[in-house]
Amino acid sequence: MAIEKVLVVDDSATDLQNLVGICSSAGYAVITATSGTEALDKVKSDTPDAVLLDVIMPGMNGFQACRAITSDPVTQHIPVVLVSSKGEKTDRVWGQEQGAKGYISKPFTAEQILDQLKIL
Amino acid sequence: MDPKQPMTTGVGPSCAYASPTGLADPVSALDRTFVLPDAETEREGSGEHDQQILRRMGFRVGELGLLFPWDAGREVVVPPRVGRIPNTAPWFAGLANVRGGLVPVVDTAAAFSVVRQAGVPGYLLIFDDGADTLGLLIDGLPRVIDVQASQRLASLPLLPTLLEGGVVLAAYDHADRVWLDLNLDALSEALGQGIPL
Repeated sequence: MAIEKVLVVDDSATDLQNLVGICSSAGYAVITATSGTEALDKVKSDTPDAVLLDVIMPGMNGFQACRAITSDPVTQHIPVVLVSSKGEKTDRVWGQEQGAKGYISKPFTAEQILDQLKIL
Repeated sequence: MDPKQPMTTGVGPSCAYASPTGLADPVSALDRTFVLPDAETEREGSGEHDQQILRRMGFRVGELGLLFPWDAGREVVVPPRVGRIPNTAPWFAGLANVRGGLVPVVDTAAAFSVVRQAGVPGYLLIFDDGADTLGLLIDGLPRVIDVQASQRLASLPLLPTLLEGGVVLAAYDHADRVWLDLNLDALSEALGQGIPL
């Protein structure tokens, strides 16, 4: 599946801007959200082709948002990649069990993000 | 629950976690213990548990296999440092600081009177429904488990005291192990009532 539109979700303005810059410069259309709840709304309203999702966010965290996306019949086809400063093995396994297609630890490089989007 | 005694399904041969095969042998039949489901269990049994496949997260605590709804857990972390609280139950490990939030931590093996699996790394499984937070020390990482209605046991096995009274909704014989499906609200209430000494 060709990825054209990416939803970037991060409560950190710096990380959000960084991810948007990486994706935009590679030609992806980018939409953004700053919370898990907003991400769920935009996944339905904007129907992105992929989601880059931060894990540690106030309120609904990235794991919970990922689970909501991947369990909803309307959105479950949209691949979710978790992007987090939580780099433990536990987080990767837990993320996988919540339905994530990939897991990238912060700090990340542009290549890591773009390579991941290419293989979705 | 005696940790040295393996939990049995209550049906079939007397060996631990045996699959139901029909009639019990006379010796094990005399030892059978039935725990009748209460009204809450009956209500649950008439709903989701009648579905053919139930998606659950499963984790181990010693010999116990426990299930909870797939969409219920918040996260799993390497057990952080825990501060003990005086005048609390021995199985209440205390409070942990997980990224600035306090998480009550229950030594689940001690609470359920089972022996932790040797050589298996422990983790802290955190539940958070927005109002209450609960952390359970578990053996290994949780995994997605799809149990089938046909794997449901006719009766619950002998349960640790803290799992009685509607905390376990159903038991399933899955992958040669008995898995107890937890009612997390009831578990949280039971643990909460038992914490103060």
